Amino acid sequence: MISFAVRRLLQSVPLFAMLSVLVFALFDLIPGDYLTEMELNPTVSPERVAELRTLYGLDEPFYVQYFRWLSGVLQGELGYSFAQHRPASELILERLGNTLLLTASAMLLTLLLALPLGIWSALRPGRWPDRLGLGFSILGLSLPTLLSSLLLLYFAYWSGWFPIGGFGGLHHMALPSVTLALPMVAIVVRTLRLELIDALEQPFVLAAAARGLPRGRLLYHAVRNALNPVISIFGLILGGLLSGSVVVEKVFNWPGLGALTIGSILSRDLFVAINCVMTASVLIVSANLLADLALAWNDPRVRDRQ
Amino acid sequence: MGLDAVCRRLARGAGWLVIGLVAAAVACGTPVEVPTERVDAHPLPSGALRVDTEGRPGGTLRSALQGSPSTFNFTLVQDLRSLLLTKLFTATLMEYDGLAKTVVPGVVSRWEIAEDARSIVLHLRRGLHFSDGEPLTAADVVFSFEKIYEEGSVNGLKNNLLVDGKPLEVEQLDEHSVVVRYAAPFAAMDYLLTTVPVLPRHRFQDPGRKIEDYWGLDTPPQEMAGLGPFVLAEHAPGLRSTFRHNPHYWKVDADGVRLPYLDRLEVHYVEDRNAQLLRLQSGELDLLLDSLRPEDFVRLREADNVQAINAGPGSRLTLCWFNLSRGINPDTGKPYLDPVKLKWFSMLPFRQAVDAAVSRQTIAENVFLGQAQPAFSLVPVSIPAWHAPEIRSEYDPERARRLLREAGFSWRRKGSGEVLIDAQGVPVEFSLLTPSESLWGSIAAILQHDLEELGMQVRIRQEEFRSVVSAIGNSRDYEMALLSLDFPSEPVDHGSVLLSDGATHFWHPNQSRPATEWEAEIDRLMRLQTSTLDLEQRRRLYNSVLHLLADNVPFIPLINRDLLIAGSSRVRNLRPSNISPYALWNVWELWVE
Amino acid sequence: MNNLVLRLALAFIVLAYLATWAAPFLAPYPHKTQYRETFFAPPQRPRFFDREGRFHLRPFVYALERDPATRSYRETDERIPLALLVSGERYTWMGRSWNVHLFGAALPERRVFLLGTDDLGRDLLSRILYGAQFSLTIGLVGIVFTLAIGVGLGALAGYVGGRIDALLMRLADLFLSLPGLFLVLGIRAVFPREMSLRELYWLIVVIFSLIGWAGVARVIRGQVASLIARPYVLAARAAGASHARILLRHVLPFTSNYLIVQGTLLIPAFILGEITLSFLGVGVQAPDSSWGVLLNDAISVHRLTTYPWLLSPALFIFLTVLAFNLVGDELKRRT
Repeated sequence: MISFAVRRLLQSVPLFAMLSVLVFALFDLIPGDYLTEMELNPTVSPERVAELRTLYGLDEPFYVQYFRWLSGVLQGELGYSFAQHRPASELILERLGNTLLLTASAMLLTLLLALPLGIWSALRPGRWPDRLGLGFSILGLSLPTLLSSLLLLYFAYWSGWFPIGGFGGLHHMALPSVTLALPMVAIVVRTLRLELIDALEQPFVLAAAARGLPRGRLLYHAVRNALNPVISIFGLILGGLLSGSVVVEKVFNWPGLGALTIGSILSRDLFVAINCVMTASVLIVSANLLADLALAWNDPRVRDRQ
Repeated sequence: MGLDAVCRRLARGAGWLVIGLVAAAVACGTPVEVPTERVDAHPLPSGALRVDTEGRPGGTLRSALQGSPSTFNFTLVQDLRSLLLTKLFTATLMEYDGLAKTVVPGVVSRWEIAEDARSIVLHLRRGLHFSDGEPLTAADVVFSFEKIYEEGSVNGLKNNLLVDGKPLEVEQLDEHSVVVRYAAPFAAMDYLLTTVPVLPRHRFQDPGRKIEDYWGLDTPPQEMAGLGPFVLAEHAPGLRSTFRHNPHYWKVDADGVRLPYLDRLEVHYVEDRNAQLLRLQSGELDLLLDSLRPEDFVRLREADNVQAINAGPGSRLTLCWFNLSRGINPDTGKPYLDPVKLKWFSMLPFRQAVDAAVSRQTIAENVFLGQAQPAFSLVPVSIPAWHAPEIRSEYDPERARRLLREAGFSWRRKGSGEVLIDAQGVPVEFSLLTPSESLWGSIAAILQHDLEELGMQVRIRQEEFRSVVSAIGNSRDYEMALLSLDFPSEPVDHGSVLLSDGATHFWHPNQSRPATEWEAEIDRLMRLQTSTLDLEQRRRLYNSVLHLLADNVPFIPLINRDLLIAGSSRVRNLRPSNISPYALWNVWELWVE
Repeated sequence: MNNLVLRLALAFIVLAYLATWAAPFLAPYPHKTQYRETFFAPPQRPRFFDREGRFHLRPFVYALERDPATRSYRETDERIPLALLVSGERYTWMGRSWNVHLFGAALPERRVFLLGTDDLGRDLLSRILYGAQFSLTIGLVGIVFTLAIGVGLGALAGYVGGRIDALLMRLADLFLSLPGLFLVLGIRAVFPREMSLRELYWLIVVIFSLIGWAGVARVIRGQVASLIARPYVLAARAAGASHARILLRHVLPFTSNYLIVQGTLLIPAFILGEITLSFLGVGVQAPDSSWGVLLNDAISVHRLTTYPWLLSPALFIFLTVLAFNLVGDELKRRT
């Protein structure tokens, strides 16, 4: 298992290299750089803009910028933020913790809600728990995050039970976690329900039931069988969460990675953007690795193959 | 155990856990702060500036800004947010009155301008101390200029503090006065000095460190000192900055009480507008520093615990224009613009027709719910010194059609509508480039609709902001553009837009030689008014420039948005200005009940 | 699942697509026309009984009057009867020019806005109908492509394993790591500013598939890897079944659960993802409409409380997703 994990991480090194080249190339491609907006400001002289462009190295071709960044990374320097005049690593580190915290709580919430709801719906297909699950899932899916977070924000204002955004203790975390969990619960419930209905009809379950296996044990086996795609989905979700959710972070004023990533791309803050994407990539790869390990643990057949 | 029982138990357990978490979350509240009586520990400076205001000292004001600053170093400030914050603890030589729109005394209590308009003597206020207790002397002022002009420094002020391309010369006369000499006669000498910070010499003594290496966002607050009304107490990146009142501040109120009234000023960085509003309405915030969306203003005006103030049209002008760039793009080897379209756009009647066909009233009324003023020229009515009220252009589609007809255009029926064609029979169609936000989409749709009445086919291209700016400034790959630009309240700052070789002469930037006669004339008038001292004379010159622009329509001014500020009704002395720093221009007077 | 519910869901989908096709005829007004004097007008409710309680066979609405001081509307006493097949503004449909609309105000110079209007006085119902042309078509094509690519590459990776598996999955990781906005920004830059409608449609489909395939491929790969180790697949292989047959007959059918969920899931994702595309200048551009753009315009606290009708596109998105989910479930049950 450990050798498998190590092999996977080694496999990912070329991925990171490719990704970094791709990010630099894309940055070269998209119009405008960090100083473009300044060029339109009548109180900033063009000489000043030219001076800064040289200072930031933005007047050089992208491969020169790339190799400068790369050699910096190898020496442990991730580059500088043009917008904040601070090392990009500082900016990312101070937000990484927040993103991990929010991810963990949203993930916990998803697990706690989705697994029981999914199992319950599958056991009573077509009955009211199932209907409830379906209605809830579809609501969760078709409400855009932008809207659901606004509604929850308004709820916080109206009820006065929660702070209206901000960063701090558990009470600050509650609403953003719920917003993030909402669509994920929907996905997991829908998938688990269908898979479990299938699993419960499989010959081995029917046979076991005929032999008089207790229903609890029966359910355990069926659920393990139904869990495969759910685990993959969890891996995907975890990856997505770890790279941050722009909307939720913005609306609830949660200083996480997602808003930083998108903000830095839109403002062309090159080194912050590239390091954000790279950080997200490491997190996504780890999340998927985790999912693959869980898959192998849950399904011996997959394990044998690896 | 039965299957159902398992599930029920699972579900019930999860349910309770969620309820528990929520309850725990609700239970954690924030502690309430107890206000303390302020003791003025330091003697008032002999030259303290008396401000005609009253209020009660003490209290905390919690304000919100839509994004974080980029620096705390005044010489590097390039964006509004950083300016707003650095001005809290850094004072400039002279100050600008946000309501009267004039230069007023600050650290410099009085000044004398020489008759040849080439030098100015500044007299510093007596007995002033920086926030760390060090006294201010004329040497600090000389040092500030030296540090800004230092060889190899890349601060942002250096290139702006040039007159005729040369730096200002500063010489200390005595302990409290300096003389500043200009390389050429300069109209707005005092105005220029409102941008020069007074830096505490004793804080910048590290050998080899340039000014731009000091005072970033990660500098410990105790390393900073200034002459502003506040001092930085704490900066939590991405969350908030907290400022404490400066115990050495040099302004007093009508009763001789030292300002600022506020003990603490918090600036929270809240990116989402809706969150800002709800926090204001729930009492978690006292003041929003960014201008409101019109729909929010209209709504907040009716709320009882909130004061929503319309500070009048701001200096940001929303305008549209045609790309008039002639010649070949050196990067692609092709003309910047399709020659057929360049020919239309270059025809004055064509531009005049468009100017007469757009309904500014609709934009102001429908998109901004009346919280905007139709604009006909560069300077809004709220800057009376330079505004030209006689320049107006009426919404007159009939006149537009007449102009087009006389210029050789005609109409051809197509379907239920008409198509405008030029003398060669080419249908008039072009694209309109504008940023992505839906506000721009709405304005663009109005323009499109109005121009369609003239038979022009307009395709709207909405793109992400920087792509738009880059298309206008670099590749010039666009036909018509819609954007808003900030025009500072003093015409000496309009040079880079109005001069034909200016980098932000957006309709045809960086011309090596004026492309048209009227552009050459504007160049001449602008240069003249920048070096004239007599205010009346300058007004006449600048007025002629505005008329030349109105006659030749290189761009079509549409509207000036009103500046809309909201604060809790607890905030007193809230008299926001329509120019930056808006609600904070008189921050020393603000207090909370 | 209740048969009636299923029929309703199916009927809704069919009707929705018919409505999309016939939008110019069904919409009382062209979606771009601005009735500027009636901006932000609230929805008018069709009635049969007037204020005095009298019954009218022909449904009617009360005319609205705007108070310029408060910028709000109130209903006047004037009744505007509704009529079917009224003539209104011209439009082109099925290659011909028409001026008949399904319904409208029976009085000339009077208008009726059943779902209210937006900031420029455009009829929201018409904008929703026209918006469906984008949201209900491109999204669906995009989903088909996304799933096809995802299943193809995912199945290949899971079935073949080894180097190809590793390569494809790292590639998937690459696409998962790149923020969608960034990718679209880059793709946008490669193409010229002006594109024909057809080019733009295909570009959007390509972008949707590029962003969506990686997630699908990862999940499918996981399932295939587990399925091919099952005894019956081993048996089929021993019996000499070809790879294609094994995949198509014995493996892929078992991934249908996930695909159905994922397919219905991608509908709202793509409808709403279109907002980002529009933001970057690839999607629908003003003054055209799509459900995503319409919904996005509504989302602000004070807009929602002052002009709640702007939220009605959310209802249509919800109904569409619900209908597709119900049909998907039923499809699954029948197989």
